[in-house]
Amino acid sequence: MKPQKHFKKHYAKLRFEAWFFSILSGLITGFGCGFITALITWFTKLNGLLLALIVIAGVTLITAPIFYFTKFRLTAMKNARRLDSLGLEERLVTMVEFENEESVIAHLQREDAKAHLAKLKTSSLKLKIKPAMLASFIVTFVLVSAMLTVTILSQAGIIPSGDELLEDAIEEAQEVYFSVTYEVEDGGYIEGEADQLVLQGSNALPVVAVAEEGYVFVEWDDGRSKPGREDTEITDHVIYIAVFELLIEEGDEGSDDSDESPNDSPNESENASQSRPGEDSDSPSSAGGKYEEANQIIDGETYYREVLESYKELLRERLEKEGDQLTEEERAIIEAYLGIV
Amino acid sequence: MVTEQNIKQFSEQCNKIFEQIHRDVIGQREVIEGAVIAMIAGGNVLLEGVPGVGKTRLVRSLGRVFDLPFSRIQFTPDLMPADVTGTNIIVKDENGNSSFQFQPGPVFSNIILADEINRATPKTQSALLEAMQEHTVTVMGVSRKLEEPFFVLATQNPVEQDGTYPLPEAQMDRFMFKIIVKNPSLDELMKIVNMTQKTMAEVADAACNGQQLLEMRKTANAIEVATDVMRYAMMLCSATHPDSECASETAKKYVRLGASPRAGQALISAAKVKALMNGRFNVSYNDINELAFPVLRHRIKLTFEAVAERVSADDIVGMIVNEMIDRTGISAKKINVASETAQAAEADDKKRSKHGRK
Repeated sequence: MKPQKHFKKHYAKLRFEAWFFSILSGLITGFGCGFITALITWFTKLNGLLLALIVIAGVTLITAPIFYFTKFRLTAMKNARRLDSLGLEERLVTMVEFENEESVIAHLQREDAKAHLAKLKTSSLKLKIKPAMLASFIVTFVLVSAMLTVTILSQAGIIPSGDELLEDAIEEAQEVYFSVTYEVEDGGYIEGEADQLVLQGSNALPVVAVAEEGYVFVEWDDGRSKPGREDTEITDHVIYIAVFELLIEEGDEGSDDSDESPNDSPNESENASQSRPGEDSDSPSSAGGKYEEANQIIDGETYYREVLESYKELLRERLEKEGDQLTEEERAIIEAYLGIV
Repeated sequence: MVTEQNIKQFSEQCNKIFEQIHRDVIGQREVIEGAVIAMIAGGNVLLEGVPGVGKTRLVRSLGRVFDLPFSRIQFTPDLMPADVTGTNIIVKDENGNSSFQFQPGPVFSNIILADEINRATPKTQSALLEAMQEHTVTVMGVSRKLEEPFFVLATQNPVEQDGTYPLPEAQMDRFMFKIIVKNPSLDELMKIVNMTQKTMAEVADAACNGQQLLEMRKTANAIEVATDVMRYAMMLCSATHPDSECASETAKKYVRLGASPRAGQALISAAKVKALMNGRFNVSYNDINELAFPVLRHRIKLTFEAVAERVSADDIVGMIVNEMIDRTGISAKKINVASETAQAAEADDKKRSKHGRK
């Protein structure tokens, strides 16, 4: 049956509707393909704008007729359904379906349908776009516009291209961070950042293990004797623990055999060479990490060898100059004190 | 073969029927229309309403208008099946020989008013099953055909449930329509009181006879139903089943048992009559949607959730209809779902339905 058989009056408008929806569907498909093209050109640094516009136009031109002939092409039943939706209460659908029925009822039904169809004004046939279709159109349009803008800006050098961004992202994804943790036992605290995240191969921030009053810094658990440390080229998660000891116990112990003047060694090997007599210099604990007089606490602060050494020298000088004026007992007390220091 | 004369008569007789019934019954337009549609379509009707709203009067009036023999059976707990169907009694002939003779019960009539049907025991209620479906009565192994047209118009009271026996599903399904008879409006109440102050007598005259009624049924049956409309009606029935392929979200939540295929038959038969009554020669989606209430409301079993949330069967039917309108995209009037709970549930179902489709 010809689709315009019963609906001549409204046929032009119905055909316009069918083509409108076909083109709209074609545009949605075109925009979708255009978006993909623009995305590819953003990565490949080709002329995205031109290519995407060609793709949109080409796909729309090809798919619009396909949509028309496969989905929106006018048929008598489709026309009947569309016109029935204007308040004809399924008269036209029934009329089209039972067109060849010869009963009295079918005849009367056809007459009734035609009478109602005649009353229907073409102006009441308004274009109604389904919300889903409208939403698809808007979404694809926005996507392709945004992607084209990105491509144009990338070509102008204002923003990086897709492959550059991708490379950066891959690099970023490959960066590995390690945790460097400085902990303390009783008697001190860490000055500086105790918990650090360090990029693989980078240096950690410097920290100092500070002893509290009445305590003395002994060593780090990895054998380092200096309270201040800056770890370099981090390649693993590490935890360093600073060890402190009570001053009285250690001090008493130390004062007994501290004849030698303490030395300020800048590295571990030097520390090892300055460990007290009788200790195994190869062991980690003797590598400068043991109690030394220079690490004493005065007024809640740690004074290191440089400072103490200068005080010691001053006292010695004064003792040499003014030593004659002192009694033997007084000299012995001062020398004993210097020994402790 | 239906002629133009038949169609003309259908229209005239419908007008006469309504005119005569309205002489006896004030208001209740939808109830009267529903009852007449069911009678023309050949279905049984269950009228539900509180006492005094005119259920029995309507049935009596229908009997008078259709000029058909009318039996009233007052259902009580001690009513026995034989009281309904009739029984064999021993009679003696002129020679003094005894023999069994069938004494027909009140069911042997054209219109049966089963008043307060839920007050009788299930056994007695079941005595009507065969009569309602097959229009036959079997007593002592002998089946007797009932005279056509045959209708059962039953009434039941939704309150005073003590000492009642709710109708079993099988019997409920045999009622084409369940019509809710509401209280009359203020104006209608004034008219009723004014009318009954003058006389309590029923004044409706016969508008057509049994033969004409059968002719009307035949005419309505000739109405063609478009495949689109038929499919929609069947989808609607199927959507009441929580486990069917086109189950609605509402049914999944609120319905334990959906409508039987009889609902589909009833929906189409009644829609044909309704369309012709409205001067249309085809069935529309709106006909189906409007008739969904009397056809489906007694055929669905609610879940505990529906009972707990006080969602009525009518609310559920309304929600299913609205859901089907949305799902199929047909252009039909949406149903205004009554209760607030049902409206909230409908909105909730809509969201879930959209989400599900996504």
